Amino acid sequence: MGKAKKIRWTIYEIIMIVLAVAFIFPAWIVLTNSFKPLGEILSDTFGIPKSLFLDNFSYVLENMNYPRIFLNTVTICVCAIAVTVVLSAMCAYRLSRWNNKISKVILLVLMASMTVPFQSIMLPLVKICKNLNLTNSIPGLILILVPLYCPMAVFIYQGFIVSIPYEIEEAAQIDGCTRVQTFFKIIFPLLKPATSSIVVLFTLQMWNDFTLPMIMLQSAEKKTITTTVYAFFSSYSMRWDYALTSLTLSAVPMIIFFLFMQKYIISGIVAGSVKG
Amino acid sequence: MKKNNKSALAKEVVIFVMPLLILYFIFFILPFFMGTYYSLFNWDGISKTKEFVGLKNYIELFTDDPDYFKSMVFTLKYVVLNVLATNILALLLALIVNSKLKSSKFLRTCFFLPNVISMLVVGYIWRFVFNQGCAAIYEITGWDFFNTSWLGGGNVTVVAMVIVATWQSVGYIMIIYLAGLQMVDTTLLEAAAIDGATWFQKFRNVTFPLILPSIGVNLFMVLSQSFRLFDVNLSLTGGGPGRETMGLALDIYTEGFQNNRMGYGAAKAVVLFVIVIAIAILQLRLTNSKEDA
Repeated sequence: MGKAKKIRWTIYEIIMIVLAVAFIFPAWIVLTNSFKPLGEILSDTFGIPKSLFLDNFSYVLENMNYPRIFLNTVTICVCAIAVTVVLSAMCAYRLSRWNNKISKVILLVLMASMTVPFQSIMLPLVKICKNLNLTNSIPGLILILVPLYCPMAVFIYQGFIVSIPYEIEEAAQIDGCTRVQTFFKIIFPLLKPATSSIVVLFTLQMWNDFTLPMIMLQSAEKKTITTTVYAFFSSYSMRWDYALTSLTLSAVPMIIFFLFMQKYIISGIVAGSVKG
Repeated sequence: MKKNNKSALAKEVVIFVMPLLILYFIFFILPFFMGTYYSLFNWDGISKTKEFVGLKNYIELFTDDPDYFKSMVFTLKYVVLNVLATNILALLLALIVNSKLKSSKFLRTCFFLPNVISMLVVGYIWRFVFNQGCAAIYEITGWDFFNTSWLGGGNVTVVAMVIVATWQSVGYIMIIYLAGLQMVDTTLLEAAAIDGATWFQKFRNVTFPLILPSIGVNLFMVLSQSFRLFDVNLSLTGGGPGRETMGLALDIYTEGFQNNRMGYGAAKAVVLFVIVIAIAILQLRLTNSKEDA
């Protein structure tokens, strides 16, 4: 009985591993085909590259202006996340400590806006940004990202702040801290678990965001990775070798990020899902 | 003293809450109301004059626009299939990862991996799979199934889009199911096992009722996400052939930025908003009534 069961589990386990590998196979063939010349991609799509062919990468890195767009994407993510995290934490803290009708209404409106599809506000948003001279500008994009992402951050922070006892703040204030000092020296460090979940979750989302950077940034040297891939793919739709290499270059940074940050990403998803 | 307190509080609110709310108002609330306002005009989005037409845009949408009707039907097909496919697969994967396998961490990593790739890129990856990949498999196996023109329009392309979207988002939904499964009290499952329950009986009578809340959360999450289908739509088919696979969200973009019908596009945006909000309210109602019961 025990032995038969063990064998059955082993078979089950092997099947599952095969399934999991098959599941990521589409990503795998894109990766491997980036190392093949076009002829080999068409004749031997699933094989392992016959030689380490790097011409695709040198061509795409240069033509996509990869270092530049990589830096743009990093700048946008870092700045927008930093501003969102600080402003959302402050707002969530004050609102949940206030705890009256006004604060409840503000929180409710913020929560409700999480359900609004971005495409519903997209057209007038571009209009407003044109009037404020914020289009085709990276700082402008950062400014718009903050309100789009803040409802989720406020939501996660607010659930966390409730569990911080008042006594800690009172003690700090007796010691002569102002409210602002109390927040930055005492409360904000205590929110670290929530902050780390928000940071990893937003990194993934902002890095992979496409619609907003596409409608906001037009010049090639200001584009992000996803919007450059879009432009690149349209002009190389017949050249799988270059097109696939651009996909590899855009996906690899976040896959590496994921493999190192897996634990935080998963706790972030769980924290963000417990709504309603 | 009291007055002093009040002004101190006002100052605090200004410092802590206002910066975010101002940004939020300019870039979220304002465009939302402006969109509703624009939807009452015949306007190209550029010229200084706009012609007030009242509800004419909405009337045209629902009575005199076969293209929009096609978009609506396409989106509804996609939404129904995607909600079912993503949730069923995610629950299955969560059950697999949650069973006591030595490799469960590896399995979870694999199933979640596509979720960290941008939706746009995922669409392109599958464009390669549906074109070159399927052609290569057809050459090897000769099965007609792989010779299908997946992206050539019709119901097949709806299925293709569901496959792609499910592949990308199933890992995320799986994580939420997994969190629900891990809350299930194992002593209940052990007790059922002692009573001689089979795997399926245990799932149906113990696990399933206990994870109902997660199922509710996920159904609605995928539902409202599916209506926003945009990136995959753009990269996989671009709405084509013709306008056959133009989802509601992509249609708004095309109307506003390519056809330059700002007023008409804004009306479409309002309709999409109403659909998604109606779903959200329904969800709220359902979860509240369950709590009351």
